[in-house]
Amino acid sequence: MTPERFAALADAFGADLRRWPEADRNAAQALVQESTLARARLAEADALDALLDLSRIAAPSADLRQRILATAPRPRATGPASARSRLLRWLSGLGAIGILTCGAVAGAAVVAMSGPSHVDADSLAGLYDQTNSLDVGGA
Amino acid sequence: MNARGQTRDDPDEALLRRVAAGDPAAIQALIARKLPRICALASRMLGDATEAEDVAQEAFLRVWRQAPNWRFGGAKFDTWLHRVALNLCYDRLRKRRERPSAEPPEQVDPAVGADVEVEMMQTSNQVQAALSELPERQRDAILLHHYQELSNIDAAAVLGVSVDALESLLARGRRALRVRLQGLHS
Repeated sequence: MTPERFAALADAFGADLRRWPEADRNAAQALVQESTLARARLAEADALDALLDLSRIAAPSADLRQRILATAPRPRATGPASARSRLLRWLSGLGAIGILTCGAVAGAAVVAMSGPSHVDADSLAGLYDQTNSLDVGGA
Repeated sequence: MNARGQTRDDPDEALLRRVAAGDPAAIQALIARKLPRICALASRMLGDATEAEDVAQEAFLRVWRQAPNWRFGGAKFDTWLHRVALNLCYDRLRKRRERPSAEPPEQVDPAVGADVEVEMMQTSNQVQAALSELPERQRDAILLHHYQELSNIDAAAVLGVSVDALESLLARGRRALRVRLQGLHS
């Protein structure tokens, strides 16, 4: 590595050789060990790094963490107690005519529950109320 | 890792898979791992803690939407997340330019008192002001490489430039900062 290339890298990437492009680190390290000029360039870069490190940023608030957590996806429900299983059991209780009548509504609900979902018991209750108002007939 | 920052070895892969499955512990771990970094980037770009928090919150909404669809083996998740945060900040900066701001970003009041903490905050504000005076791309290159500690390849990928272009941006930005920060002592 030439001294000029070393200086250019120090100008760009600062004093910490671990932050330099991977392909240049070994050659840079070798030059530092043998060249006083290279060490002087690193010292200049280190002085600027130290000034930059005087910029301080406050940590995120606990309130922000909670707000972000509140928007996170819920675990997918699995097993016999899953929302999908409960919905299908409920639909089967309406009989064939009932399933055809509310097929579009149920289809939308099943699709909604296929991916990461926020469907919960309240949403299912709302679906029941909506469908229950239709003239479904049957047992 | 190739020159576009793509790698098969993404340190966030395992965590992201669990987040996609809605694993509560993984979600908390991802927030702990990424939130301080995204907040720091947004704070330095926007100079306003409240706006930075809004950016962070929006960025995580996109994480939750993207997690189930994430394709591993392509760009690193951290690179993508930085790109999202950067773009959200650009949107806000563009809106600021389109309308005169009613209030400047929050600053420490130097009249509060000459204790050490205030002095450190004033110095921090001076560094922050010097950064904000740089041309946008030079500033962003320094934020991504020096403060966010992204590699040259990852920082270049976030900015959508070559590694040579990133090196040039860093060198010019750092030279300008050396001049602006003369007289400031660490």
